Amino acid sequence: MLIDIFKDLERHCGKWSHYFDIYEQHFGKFVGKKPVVVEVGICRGGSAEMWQKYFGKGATIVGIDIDPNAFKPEHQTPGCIQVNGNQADPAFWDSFLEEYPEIDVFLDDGSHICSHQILTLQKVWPHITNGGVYMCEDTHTNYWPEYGGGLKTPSTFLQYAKMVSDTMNSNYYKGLDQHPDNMMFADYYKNLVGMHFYDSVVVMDKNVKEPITNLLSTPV
Amino acid sequence: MSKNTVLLTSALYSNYGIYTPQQRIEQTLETAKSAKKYIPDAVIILIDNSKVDVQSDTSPELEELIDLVDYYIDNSDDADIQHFHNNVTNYDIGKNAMECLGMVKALSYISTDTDIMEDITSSSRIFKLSGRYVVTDKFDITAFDNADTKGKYVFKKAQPSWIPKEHTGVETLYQTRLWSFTPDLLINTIGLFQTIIQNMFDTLNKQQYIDVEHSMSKFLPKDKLVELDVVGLQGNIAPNGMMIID
Repeated sequence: MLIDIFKDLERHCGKWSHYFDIYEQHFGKFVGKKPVVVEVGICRGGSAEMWQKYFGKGATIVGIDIDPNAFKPEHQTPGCIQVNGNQADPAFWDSFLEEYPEIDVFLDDGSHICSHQILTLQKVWPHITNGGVYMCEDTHTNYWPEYGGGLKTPSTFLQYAKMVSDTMNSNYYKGLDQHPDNMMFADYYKNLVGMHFYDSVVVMDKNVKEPITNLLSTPV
Repeated sequence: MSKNTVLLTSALYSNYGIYTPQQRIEQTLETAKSAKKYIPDAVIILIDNSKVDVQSDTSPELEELIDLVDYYIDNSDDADIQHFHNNVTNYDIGKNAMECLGMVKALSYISTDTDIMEDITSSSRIFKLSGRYVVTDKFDITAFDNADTKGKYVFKKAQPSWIPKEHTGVETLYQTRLWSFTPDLLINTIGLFQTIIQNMFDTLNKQQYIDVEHSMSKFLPKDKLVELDVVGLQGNIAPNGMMIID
């Protein structure tokens, strides 16, 4: 169990209690499969240690942080990769994603600022592998003005994520909803096959979409 | 070198889209910098249609933006502009009508301001440039300003329409993020926008829809129109942040 790994960590890590079930539900399929795991927000190194122990031998664990404190030797987990970068900087993502073009598990636990969360998703999404998972946590900041938040504020990550969720149904758009801007957006997220909204967490599943058919059990 | 006037339109504080006012200000500052870089001897007139008194913003980026532009027309105290911010929730309808209204008001004001008119009339061309986008190194002034474009509008090449023709009456649209005309067309351009606004409301009253891009296709005088494959502009659209390259 991930929670048991967490309790035995040598390095500091802070997570809300209900996150562990969500992690296991969405990340469990990658355990032992040598996934590429990227997390924004290293802090004191505990989560990298946790993911290394959880996903097992062969997993590539990459942590990104802007804070120099995150790179102190005592916060480093042997075998995990630490990258100094600013998630609010598009150029950082361009260079990072050149180095890590295929990511199986991505977790945004960075600044928690809405505009940074949006930019991070926009940049990283094309690099999530089919079958991969994108997760953004601590989205409760999306209700706090100091993070650019507020209920139904259009510029929050959560409002953006709700728009993204519409793209899964773009085949059913009619009339003015078929505006090219909407269709271009839908095309960008065309491999989004599932989206999950939890308390403070958004999860997105990526995969190749199979054509759907309307099945009938018996002739009418 | 010939002077050029740039009508830089913006809504720094807006109800619409995924960008915060701070992001919009930073992006529009980049727009102004790119215009100064690529459009020869650019005189920039910032026309802002914000939902609030934008001048109460004390950010250094706004200060830099206002310092960088040559003229600043603030429509945030205009009752008609505010009506759209406060009462029209549909993104497309609000944005389109407000943009056109903002242009009519700004161009009408400009036509009565002797200082600005001196710059306008001594300009080779007038460019309408949408804030938040940047002019790129693909921008070619000679494509806009040559013997064939005198007395004419220059737009990016028409694109196929996505709206049923019965709504708009046209089968194409013209992108309006960057386009250009000569100073002798200033009064015609005010009239063009007045016609577009009237038609927008007539269309809406029929429970139909037309945006500014289709309106241009409908009302631009075709004998005064030059189309370009590339205008040299890029940026992220406000509704969902998707990148466009014109």
